[in-house]
Amino acid sequence: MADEHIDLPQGTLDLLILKTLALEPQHGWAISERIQQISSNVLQIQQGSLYPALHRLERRGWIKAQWGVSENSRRAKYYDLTKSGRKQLETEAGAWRKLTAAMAQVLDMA
Amino acid sequence: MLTDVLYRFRALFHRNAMEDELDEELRFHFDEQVDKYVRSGLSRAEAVRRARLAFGGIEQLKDECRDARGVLFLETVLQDCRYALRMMRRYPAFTAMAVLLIGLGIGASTSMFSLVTASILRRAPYSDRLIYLWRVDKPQGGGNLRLPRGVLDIHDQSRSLERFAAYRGEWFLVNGPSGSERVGGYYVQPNWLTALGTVPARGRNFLPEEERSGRSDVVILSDALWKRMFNGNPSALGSRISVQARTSTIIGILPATFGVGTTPFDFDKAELFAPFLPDHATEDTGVFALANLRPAVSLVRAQSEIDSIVAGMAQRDPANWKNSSIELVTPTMQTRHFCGPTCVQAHRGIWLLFGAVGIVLLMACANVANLLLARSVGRRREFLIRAAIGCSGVRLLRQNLTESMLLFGCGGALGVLIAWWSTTLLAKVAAAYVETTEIELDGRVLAFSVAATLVTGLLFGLLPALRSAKGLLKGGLKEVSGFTSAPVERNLTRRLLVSSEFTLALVLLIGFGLLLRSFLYVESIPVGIWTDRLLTIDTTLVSPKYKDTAKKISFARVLLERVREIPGVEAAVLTSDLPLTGAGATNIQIEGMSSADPQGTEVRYISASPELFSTLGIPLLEGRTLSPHDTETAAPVVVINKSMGELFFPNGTAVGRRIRPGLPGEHLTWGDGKPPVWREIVGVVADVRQRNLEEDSRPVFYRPYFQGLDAPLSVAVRARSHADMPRVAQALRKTVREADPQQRWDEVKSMQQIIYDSESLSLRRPIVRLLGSFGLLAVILATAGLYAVLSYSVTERTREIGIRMALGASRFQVFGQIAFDTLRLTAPGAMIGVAVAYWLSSLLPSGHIDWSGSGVFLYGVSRSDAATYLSVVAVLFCVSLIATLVPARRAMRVDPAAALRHE
Repeated sequence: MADEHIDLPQGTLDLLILKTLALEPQHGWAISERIQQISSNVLQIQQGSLYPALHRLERRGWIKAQWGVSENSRRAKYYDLTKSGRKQLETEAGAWRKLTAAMAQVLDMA
Repeated sequence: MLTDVLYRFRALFHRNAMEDELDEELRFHFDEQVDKYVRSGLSRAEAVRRARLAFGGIEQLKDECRDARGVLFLETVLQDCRYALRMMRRYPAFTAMAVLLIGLGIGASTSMFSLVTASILRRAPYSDRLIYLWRVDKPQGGGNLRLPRGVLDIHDQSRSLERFAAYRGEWFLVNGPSGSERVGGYYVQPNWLTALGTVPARGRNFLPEEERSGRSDVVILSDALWKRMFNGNPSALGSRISVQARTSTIIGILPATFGVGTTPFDFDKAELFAPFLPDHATEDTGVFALANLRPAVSLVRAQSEIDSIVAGMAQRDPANWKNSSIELVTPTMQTRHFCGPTCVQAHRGIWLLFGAVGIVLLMACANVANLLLARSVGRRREFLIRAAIGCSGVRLLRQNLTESMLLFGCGGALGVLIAWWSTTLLAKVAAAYVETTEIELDGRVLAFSVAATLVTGLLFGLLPALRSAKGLLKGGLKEVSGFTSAPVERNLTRRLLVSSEFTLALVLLIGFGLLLRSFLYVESIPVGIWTDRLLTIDTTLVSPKYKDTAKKISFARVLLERVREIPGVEAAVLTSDLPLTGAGATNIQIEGMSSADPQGTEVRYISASPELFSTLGIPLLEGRTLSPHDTETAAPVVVINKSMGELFFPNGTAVGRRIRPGLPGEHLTWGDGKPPVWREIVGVVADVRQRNLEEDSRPVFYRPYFQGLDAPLSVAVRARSHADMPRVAQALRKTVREADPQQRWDEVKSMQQIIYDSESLSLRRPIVRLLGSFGLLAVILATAGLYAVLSYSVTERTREIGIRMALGASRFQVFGQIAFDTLRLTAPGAMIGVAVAYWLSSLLPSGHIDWSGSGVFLYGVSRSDAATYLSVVAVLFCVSLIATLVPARRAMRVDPAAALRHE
């Protein structure tokens, strides 16, 4: 299992969080689970980086937090994308696609 | 950005709530993780263990979250501030001393800066939409501002100007409820007030028809005149007063703020306004004009439009317009332009004082830095312990800097308070010295004090902070407990600070010394007259009834007779201009000489009754003085002074020659409306300082008072004895009033008072006094700094001194050692100070005073004046010796046995 994990490149965590929240408001735990699921267990988010990232994004005004009730009826902190967060997601996703395309081109050349 | 700040603040001030939320959020995550493991088949205990493993250090995670929230920075600043406040409370004497020093420095420089903004950097109170129309004469480039006839036509042709208003100055004779008064004012067009951006505070402005109808029986009063004449009674509005012997109705009263701080044409001294009449524009006296630029029209565009209009007028009316152009001038440009020689010198003096106050500020800060360094030695143990338990050097630096900045911040606040308190005092000193707007702590001044506090705080706070942080990295905890010599480097910094204080003090004191010697020298220059027991009173004869020369002369005769009869008066004289008050100047022609010959030098002219020379004690050198027989019917004569004789008649052939005022072809008229006549020179008298004490003697001629009269009139009397003077002054005041009850006279002044108030002395006195107080402050600061360093070094070296004494050194040798130390501290600083002072003194204007009276700072003393330099060095040497005595005494009393046990 551990072998399939890869380390996240710098800065990509923010993008992943924003993308995950674009679908619906989520709490921290669900965000990490969702990323893990969608990436077929390749990407695993450590709590040690997830929560600081969430707080950072909130400070920047890209996401906002609200207390809600989870599936098992517990109080949980839900994060939601703000307007500027949506904009940020677009720019970052665009930049990321450009980068990966360029990377792929270079790597395939060899 | 805003969300960021709000978030940070919420994070900061709702810290507990946010901590709880963070706890809950993480616990939720943890529980979900555990549940997930349990679901996948692990036992609960095992699940918890795995989840803990996955979570890692929970506290570390929380810290990272806090960091991400951005509270750490602010929190640290607050923490540092709290700590710094605690420190300030723990060392109250130190804190009080430092805050007081900074407060004095910042306070003094802030109040000086408020003077700079109120005098030199003052803003014209009107908007830059306001422009003045100046006349510039083409050949010379100069202009007299009075516009050529037909200037009103510009108004009709211009599209870039609006609210055009012509105006003309006048002395009005006003007869109101408080008696009669001569009042300065203007005839103005109705737009005039509007263009200046003012409306009457009470009543109304002039109406266009009041100008057109040629009715001048409505007037507007200034606030000052209203208060003076009507005691500020609102019923004055609508009441009637006599203006120029015509009954006029008061229709408006201007706001008190009108005209404050304008030099040009003395708006603030203009107190009465009447409608401009059509024939004013055609009179020879000329008019002035102002207007507003239309919105969105640039000055350049308006100027080019005016140029083309003037070109057109020159074609139609060449007599008036051929050689003139009109220049548009903003209030700011005008204010700058009107800074004459006296104003320039006053401004230079203010810059000089500002520089001096800067030196005092630097010295105060150097002393504070010294105190901070000394204290950081005392707190070494504390710093080391903090470093040992994990405080980084940068963190320690930051905290040190926070402490200094807080200290400087308090000092700055105290400084602003001091400045605020001193503005009234400063305004009083400045009033006699320079024209200012109200001296106040406005935005610019406050910005200056904040900037000064920040810069000095960073500069002088960083130094000790760096030192203590750096010392830490090198030393170790071991230093704390045992005996160590003090870190050499830190001492070096302190010694350098004290040395530079001596440099600064020396520069300041030498500057003061040079200016003091100049002042004393100028004060000792003889005026050229016998000043003892002389009393004077002035007026200007401008009332319409004195336009008739015969009437004027008979009034003067009667006046002189009556003044002579005052009991206790030994001699009395009438003159147009007393010594040290200036005089009119004119070109002259000499009979039988070509026009180009008489040097082009202007000559001062004075009218005087015959007794002038005997009463003032001006010696006759050649020929005769004016005599009572030189009446209006006798042959026109003139007496010249020695300088005029030497300049125009170098062969000593002056007596018997004839001169006439004015250049050939120039159509001059004197006060009596007649052209000047040829006058025979009948005598030569000694020179008198007519305007400034410093100036070289200028050519002057004296006309008999009764052969044509000038408007200015001074009466001077010599009392028989000093005891008579108060009685004579009172009688003089009464006599001149009785001679013409409508005439307004100034106060009685003694000749000594005139000398005291003369530009030569009154422009120097405040500079010398203030520089003197700053110099005294500088000496105290330098001495205090020296004392602190010396007494610290004696304490530090107690053990060393003890050993020396145990080995046989005498008390005298110990004293010598301390004295030598003093010398090493002060001598290099003093030497640099002498060099710097010599270099800076070249910036002080020196040499000869010019015709206009533009002053010099250094006079009668060389900038390398050895006596000044030596005495300043001597004073500082003595003072530093005194600072040495106390620590040295302590050193000499060291008990070797005790010192050796000392740790």
